[in-house]
Amino acid sequence: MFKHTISELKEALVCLQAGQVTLAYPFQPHAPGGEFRGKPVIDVDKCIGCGACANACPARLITVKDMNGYRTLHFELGRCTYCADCRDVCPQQALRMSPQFELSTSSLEDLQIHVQFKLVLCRLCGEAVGTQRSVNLVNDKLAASELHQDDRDYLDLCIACKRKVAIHTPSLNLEVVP
Amino acid sequence: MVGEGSEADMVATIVKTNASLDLQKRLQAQNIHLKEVRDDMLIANVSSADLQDTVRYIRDMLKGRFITSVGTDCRQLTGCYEVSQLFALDADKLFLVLTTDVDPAHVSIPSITWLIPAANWAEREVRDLIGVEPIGHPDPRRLVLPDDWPDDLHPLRKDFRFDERPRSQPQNKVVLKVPPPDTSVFPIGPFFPTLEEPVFINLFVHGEEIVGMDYRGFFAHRGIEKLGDAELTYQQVPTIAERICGICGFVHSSCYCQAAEKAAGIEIPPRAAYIRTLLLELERIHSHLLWIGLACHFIGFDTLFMQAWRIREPVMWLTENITGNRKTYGINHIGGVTRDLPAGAREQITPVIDKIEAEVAAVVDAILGDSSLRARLEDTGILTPDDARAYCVVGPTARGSGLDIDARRDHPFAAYADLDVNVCVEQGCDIWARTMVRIRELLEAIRLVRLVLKKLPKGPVMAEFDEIEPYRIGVSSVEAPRGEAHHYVMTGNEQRPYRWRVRAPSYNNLQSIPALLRGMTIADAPISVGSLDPCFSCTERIAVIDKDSGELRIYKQEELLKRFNDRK
Amino acid sequence: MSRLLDWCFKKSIWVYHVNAGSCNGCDIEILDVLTPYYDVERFGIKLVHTPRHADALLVTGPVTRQVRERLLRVYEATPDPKLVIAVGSCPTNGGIWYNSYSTLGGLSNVLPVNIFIPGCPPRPEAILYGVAQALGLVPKQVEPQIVMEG
Repeated sequence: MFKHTISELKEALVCLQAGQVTLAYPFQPHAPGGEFRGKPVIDVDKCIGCGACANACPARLITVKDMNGYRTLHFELGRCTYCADCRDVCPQQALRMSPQFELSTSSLEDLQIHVQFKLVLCRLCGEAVGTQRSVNLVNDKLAASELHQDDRDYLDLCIACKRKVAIHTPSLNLEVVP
Repeated sequence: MVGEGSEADMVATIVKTNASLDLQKRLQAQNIHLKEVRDDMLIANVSSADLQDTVRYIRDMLKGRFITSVGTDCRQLTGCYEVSQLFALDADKLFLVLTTDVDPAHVSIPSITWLIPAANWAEREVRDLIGVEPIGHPDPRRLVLPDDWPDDLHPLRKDFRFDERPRSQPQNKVVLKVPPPDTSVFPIGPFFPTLEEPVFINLFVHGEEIVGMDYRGFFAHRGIEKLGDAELTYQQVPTIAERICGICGFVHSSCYCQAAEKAAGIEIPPRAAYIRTLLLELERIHSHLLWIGLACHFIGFDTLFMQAWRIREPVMWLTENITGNRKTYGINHIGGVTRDLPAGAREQITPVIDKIEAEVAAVVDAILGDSSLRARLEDTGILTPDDARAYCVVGPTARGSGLDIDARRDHPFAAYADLDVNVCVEQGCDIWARTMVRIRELLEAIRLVRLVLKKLPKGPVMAEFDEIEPYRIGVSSVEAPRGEAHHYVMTGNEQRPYRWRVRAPSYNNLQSIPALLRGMTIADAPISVGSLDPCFSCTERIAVIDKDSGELRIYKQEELLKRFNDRK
Repeated sequence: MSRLLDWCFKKSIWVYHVNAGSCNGCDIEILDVLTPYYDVERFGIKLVHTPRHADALLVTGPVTRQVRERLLRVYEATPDPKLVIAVGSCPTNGGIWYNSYSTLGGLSNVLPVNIFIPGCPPRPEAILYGVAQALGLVPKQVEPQIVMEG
């Protein structure tokens, strides 16, 4: 019995030594530190609309649609798992996981990213080549490389048409097998 | 069907590997056809007719421990379904995959549940999801699929779309067992106070004593394995694996990655292995503290519930800081980890585990003399070693009943081969024994974290690798806080697994509940089930219908406690 | 009278937690909100053991096909006025298994939801914030990001 009382006193001591630990949140912020992955945010200046994020997302919440000369990227963030695969795979580092975690809302429409970019359409067949931004990026890289300057003439062709044109371009010295 | 090659190739492979030659000879002497032999795994094939004899041989002569069954629709590859029985040969540090081809014209296989009670659920799950009927199974009712699911639709067949949602068939509702004569029934669930997960249990009682039970679970069946082999890609699966369980997230993502790495022959860099080990042990620390708190909550000892969770919270902040999330760390990919530990991680980790060690020591010192706590936990919830072996239980549930098994030592993974893990075994077989196993493991985990930080090698954290060859099998175990988690991966040709099977530790442990509860009083039921540390736990509020008097009483927690104390 | 009820509602709501097929991560964070560092009981919010006593339902999980009928019964058993709070990414929009054969794609396909608290799992602070927001005590912080070129 005595042993039991001692143990109860020890248990009480554990509590007393801990004291009051309650955080002042929400009256004071308690922001996450370090590597915390909160709500994804797109840097629209960097994004080229390539859609690599859509392929990577495990929750399949990113959809890419081409319609009427525009490409839309839509993120249904309600089911985001905050895994950051989208951020990791983006070639332009256009996505980041912000520290924002207070995401509660009564409307699912608040939980979305919706981005619309102008498309370049193939001058021969009208199919989408890519976003204007991605074409500009390639153009800038080619300009800076001083090589392959001829390729800059084909940037407004889709892959299929580019192939057809390349085969019939004399300067490339390709042997066409009938 | 896997590892097609000439007989000569097969013989050459057998001689070259490190797997026990004696074991291979014994298997061949039994006419068990070996298909593939690797350092840590053998794949054998046996016909339906020979299956039961082979399983008996593995159980008795090889001391094989049953892990689970896997059903795969291989019709587009071989024209057959395939059912694999997975065994662990702990003494030999090997896994044994025993495959049987099932003719689509006769979709059935002899049941092995009468030989291995632990196969009960696994065989029913294969029937639900693939459609292979276990002939002779003692309880062939639906287990996993929802009550209103059509009878002849098996989601893991390749001709079933993962997002197909057939119309409701409420007449298929699982019929629960009729109670034995002279017993009352009381239902628990599916929603209950302190019950973290939905589950429906019918307890059959004679007065206060539990004489039997029936169970309807799998309310959280979300179609994970189907998403893994039909919709997600190889590197998306770790994200879903991390969400199988609310505590052992990193266990499951590591186990999947390891199984896939074995199948693909990918070796991860040593630094990645150490980082995985570090996070697995941190997960163990917070999980065991969580269990201590919850167990005390079930028996009404809320002081310790609050203190245990207070002690645990800094680990959650720590993992949030170093990985990006409190629980879903999100850094496992096939090949290693996607992010290195941030600078200063060591300086963050050390004070946290030092403090936890000191506080746990103080708590243990306090509770060792707590006679009312010990009275509640000692000589209760007895799981005999025989029952533990029959149900192939794992983890602290097994080690509390004297079974010396631990995947970290028996089937080393991540960096555990370099670390000397002290396996904590107790002989008491009661709840107190399981409690002591967890407390000792918690302190051992702290020691392992320090050792990992000391030995952490430099270098890259992700391996480079080419395309993953299809139709290769890999299996892996990870010792979760609850016991051995085991994943089976067969690689596919669409940048995703062809088949992915998950066996969580609670899958086997929960099947031992009827053995655990038999002969026990109602008041002891919640903490007994809770001592298995399942991902759910039992009730504190029970409705009892006394068949003789017709009286309905609702017992509240205080009344249950009182009834227990008065009983003494 | 209804203004009085609204005012009463803002003080000290009792919540009933329902796991509609979740992995348990959000459920543990909900329990965590009771523990010393967060101590939700200082706001008079407590977890109750029956929907009959509840002012709000905290629902986790994507709502599996198996659990749907029982979830509806819990909702009907909860007396009005009541709030339905979806905790986690699973009830918010179905989570990573939103279109699986065995789930129903999010809580709003089954019940009217007052507030969604996304996260996988949401931090205990986020749960506190969401509940406070449901009571009208703090403002919404999240906005959509919409950019239209041309």
